[in-house]
Amino acid sequence: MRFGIGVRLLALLPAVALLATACSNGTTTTTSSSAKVVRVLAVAGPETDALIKYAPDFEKSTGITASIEQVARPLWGQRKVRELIENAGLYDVVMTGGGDDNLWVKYKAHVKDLSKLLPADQVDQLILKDKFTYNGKLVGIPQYYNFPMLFYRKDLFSNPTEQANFKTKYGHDLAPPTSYDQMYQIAEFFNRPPNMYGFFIGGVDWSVYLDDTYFVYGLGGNYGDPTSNQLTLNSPQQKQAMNWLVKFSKFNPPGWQTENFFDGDQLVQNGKVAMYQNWFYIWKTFQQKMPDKIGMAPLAGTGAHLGAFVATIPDAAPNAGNGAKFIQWMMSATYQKQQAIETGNLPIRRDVLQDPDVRKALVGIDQFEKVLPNLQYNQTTWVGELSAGVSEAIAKALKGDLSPDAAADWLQNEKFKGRKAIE
Amino acid sequence: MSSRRQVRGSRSRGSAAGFLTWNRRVQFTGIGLTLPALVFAFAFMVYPVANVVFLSFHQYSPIRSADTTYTGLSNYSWLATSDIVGHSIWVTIVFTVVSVAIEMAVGLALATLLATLVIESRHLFGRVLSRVLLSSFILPFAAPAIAGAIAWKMLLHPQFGPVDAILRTDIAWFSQFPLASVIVADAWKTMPFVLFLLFAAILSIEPEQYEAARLDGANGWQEFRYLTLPSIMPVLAVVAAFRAVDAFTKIFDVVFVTTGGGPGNDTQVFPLLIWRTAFDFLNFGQASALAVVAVLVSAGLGASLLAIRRLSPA
Repeated sequence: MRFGIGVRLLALLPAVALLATACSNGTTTTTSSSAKVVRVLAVAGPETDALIKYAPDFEKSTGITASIEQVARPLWGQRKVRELIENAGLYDVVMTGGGDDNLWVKYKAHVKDLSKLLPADQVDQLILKDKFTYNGKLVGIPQYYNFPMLFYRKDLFSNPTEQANFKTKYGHDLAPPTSYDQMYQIAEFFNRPPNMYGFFIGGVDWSVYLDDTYFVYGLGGNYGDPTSNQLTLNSPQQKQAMNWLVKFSKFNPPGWQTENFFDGDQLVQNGKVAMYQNWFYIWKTFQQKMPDKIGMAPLAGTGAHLGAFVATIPDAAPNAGNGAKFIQWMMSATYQKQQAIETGNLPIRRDVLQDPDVRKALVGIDQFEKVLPNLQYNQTTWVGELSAGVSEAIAKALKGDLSPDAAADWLQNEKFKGRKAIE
Repeated sequence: MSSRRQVRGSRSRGSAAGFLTWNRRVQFTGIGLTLPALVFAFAFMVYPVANVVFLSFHQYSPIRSADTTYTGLSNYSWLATSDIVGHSIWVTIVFTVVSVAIEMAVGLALATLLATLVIESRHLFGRVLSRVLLSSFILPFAAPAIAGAIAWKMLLHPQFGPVDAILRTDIAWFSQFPLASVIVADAWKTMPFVLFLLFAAILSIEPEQYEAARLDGANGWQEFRYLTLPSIMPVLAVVAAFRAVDAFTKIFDVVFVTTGGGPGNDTQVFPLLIWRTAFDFLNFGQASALAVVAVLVSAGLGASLLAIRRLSPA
């Protein structure tokens, strides 16, 4: 078969195009120089979606293109460490986790002091600034605040028959619990299988660890003590938390062991669960879908798990100046207001928290404000491994291989024997 | 082609120096053409494996230290004494053996039935039916693994799942029978692969052999036992070896989606443990040692199955 020269040249065209592409810079953003781009490492989710949605405002006001890379959570851990400890220098802004990353970011990460890069009047507006300050260095700025709350069947709580029956059985009014004893009574009272179950705990390892934090922080405990650099995995609070987890698991729907809090959301919406503890991202959905059925209250304990993506600027950032401008925009009153109304998360600024539009949009903001001062974060630098160990200990206690107290002792004295809070 | 050979021949006959030059040019061209493939293989196959072996003898946990420190066999001694590793290997072996056994048994049965249907069907209905069945069996294999796993999670959901509703049971499958449920979900996904390879192998058997067997008075079972099975045994062994290696080293997505390795560590298969050690615990030294073990176990598994095939009479 013979081909003409035209056909042969045509056949070469894709190869030439491929070669030309391979030899080009490969940039997807249409910018004249790298100085006009800010590269942000973020995690896929509604919070990052909000950043992306309003990023054109930042681009318009600064002339800097925002390249916000969303990675899946499983990849996020390695990327953060690569940027903040191994100085990879690929990103100008790296989002970290407020509740689990905060300690290693403070002690180990190679990050800029943001108080030197951001205007003082903006930094002064930051709520819980101390949580992100170490030795006078402001290591990060949270994008928003989120934390767990208690969600319960408001319609059942206000039902006169249920109220009367509850009072007869327990001797006090049926109301959102303010102690774990009360919460246990309510879970027991509404546990009516197979139609409804009293409580929900996500049993998958990462989810059950989160439930454990609700109890541990609620009881005033933590997983480590940076001052003495010791682990506190069998402290009285830890043992109480383990005991409560095991007790409440009795009121869970079948199959909870392989479910997580997202499954809990579905079960609550389908009327299968009377009460559970979860992050208040779900509050907006409950408000939209079943405002008359679901109520919200602070957790029964004293503390709550801090949830936020926290923006940091690596020491090795290719363009720290652009990173600072991006964070300045992110913490601006305008964006914070837009984000709060869009996502239902709390703003990080004092002035925006008092904004009438924000207060109107965030139903139950007065409840959130009660919790805000009590937010806690994990006091170890290796939360990934620690949380897997905690879930392993919980599994031993739930199976009856160990008592809850013995499971806490096993964690401290065997599983993580010799380990330190800060490694 | 012959004219080209003549031209080359005349060149080579011109002088010894010319011949060497021509030979060298051919060699350089060959090397030049092969080089991209070699670079690719080195960059994406040799280097990663070598790096994993290198890291397995080092402490590399960047959350503790950015340095990579030589630790000798400590990562291997850790995995030799770790309860979690031992349990994970055991779970993965059980998963591999049972899953591959189910896939081979069901795949072989269905392949035989389908091949019989294709060979025997003389009517249009039979031919259409066999093609529809064949096409439908590819669906689980073609579906993305994550989508398939989510579908199984929904099917077996203790509150809303249709399986419990149909069976009128109240079983939390993934909690009460976690490993069995994961095995079923994985076998459903990968069985078509076995089915189609065995189906093709059965169709490649000469029809005359079946005719001869029938003339000799063989019944259906005897045809299968003494003709079909021995004829497809080489394919069967290779498929089983391939699936065993694949199941041991790559079972991840189904477990990740349905049970997350739980309850507790009940379904923490080896690849999930490697992934967790690397990307959750950020302990790349230990994760590399686990990965080396996975490679060795799967290589041993594949080699032993093929050795059994060579030793057994065809």
